[in-house]
Amino acid sequence: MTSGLRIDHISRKQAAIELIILKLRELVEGMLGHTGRPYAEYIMTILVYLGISNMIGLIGFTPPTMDLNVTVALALMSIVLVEVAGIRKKGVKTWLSDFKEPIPVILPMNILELGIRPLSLCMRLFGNVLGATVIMEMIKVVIPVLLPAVLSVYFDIFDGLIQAYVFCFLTSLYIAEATEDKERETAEERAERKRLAAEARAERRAERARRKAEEDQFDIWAFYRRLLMLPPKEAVA
Amino acid sequence: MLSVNMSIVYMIINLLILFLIFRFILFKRVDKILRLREREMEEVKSKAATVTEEAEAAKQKYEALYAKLEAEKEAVFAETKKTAYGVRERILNEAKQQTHDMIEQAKQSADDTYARERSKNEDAITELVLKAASKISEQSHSKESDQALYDRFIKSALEDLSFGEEERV
Repeated sequence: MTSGLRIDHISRKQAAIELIILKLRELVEGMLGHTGRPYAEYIMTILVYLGISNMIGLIGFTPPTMDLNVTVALALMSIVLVEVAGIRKKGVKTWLSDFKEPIPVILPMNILELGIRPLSLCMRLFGNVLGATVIMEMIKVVIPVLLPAVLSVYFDIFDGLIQAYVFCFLTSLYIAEATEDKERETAEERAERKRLAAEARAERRAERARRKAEEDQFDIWAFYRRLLMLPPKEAVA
Repeated sequence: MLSVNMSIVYMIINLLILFLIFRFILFKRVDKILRLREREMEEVKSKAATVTEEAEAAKQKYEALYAKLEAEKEAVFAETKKTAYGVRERILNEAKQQTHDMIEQAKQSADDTYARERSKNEDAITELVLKAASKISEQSHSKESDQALYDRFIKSALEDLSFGEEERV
């Protein structure tokens, strides 16, 4: 298919291939962001595979994505890729420490996410394709002519492509999230932040002490005398 | 359909193979062609930029040359104009001088003619006077004959004088 590609005076077939590849790359790289670009080719492959698999029902085959093993395999590969991308970008230590971001309380949930993400990916894909196929089969049993042809536009083409896009979009999103450039605090910045916080605490403490001293010096009888416009105690004496 | 078994592993292997096939047969080749095309375009662009720069330099050079030629033309034109004015002045002065000379010459010639005619007339008058005197001396004369002689002499002298004036004019 790609043999005999030329730089100029290209054939229509080559133009079509180049157009498809460029558009796919544009779409996938837009989802991945600049940090996830090295993984664009994998996402493009999965997008093409899922797009064809989900629409293969149009020509009478059973969609491979109706098999749970296929969606599990796809989800496992995606999540492995996401974590590998994260480790490659940040290193094992930072990758591990990121599990307690933004606050350490989140740690168990972040660990759970490792399993939830692939599970949601595979189940969403499997459920949608299975659901669409089952509905189509039921419609074919009830009204075998005309209606299945119309509805297959939605259930086979639209839904199939949407599911392929959603799977790839979520995988890309996870990869982009795992490889994003976070602005990490340096040791100097951390020390400066701590110093400023200590200063603020000391100021608050001093303010509290000053107020307490003022309260201790407060003479309630002098206050009443002033209120009743009586002369001060010293003047009376 | 809902059972999970070893086919997951086969599926993963198949997907990896599919990915490698796509990568090496499709993406890499197309990317290579696109990269080569981009490089070629860059080369063409850089060549075009070089040619444009050269054309710009040549344009500036010829513009400078044109300006120089224009200045030279102006200088030559001014010089020629100046020379032409000089020649015109000289010719006019010569013509004036020639005209003046011719007028002077004509005046001189007229004066000479006048003097010559006058001298001729004077000679004629003298001759007539002498003739008249000789005739008077020859003839006995009365008061009437003298008067007639005077009239004749005057008439003759006036005719000669008028003839001389006409000739002078």
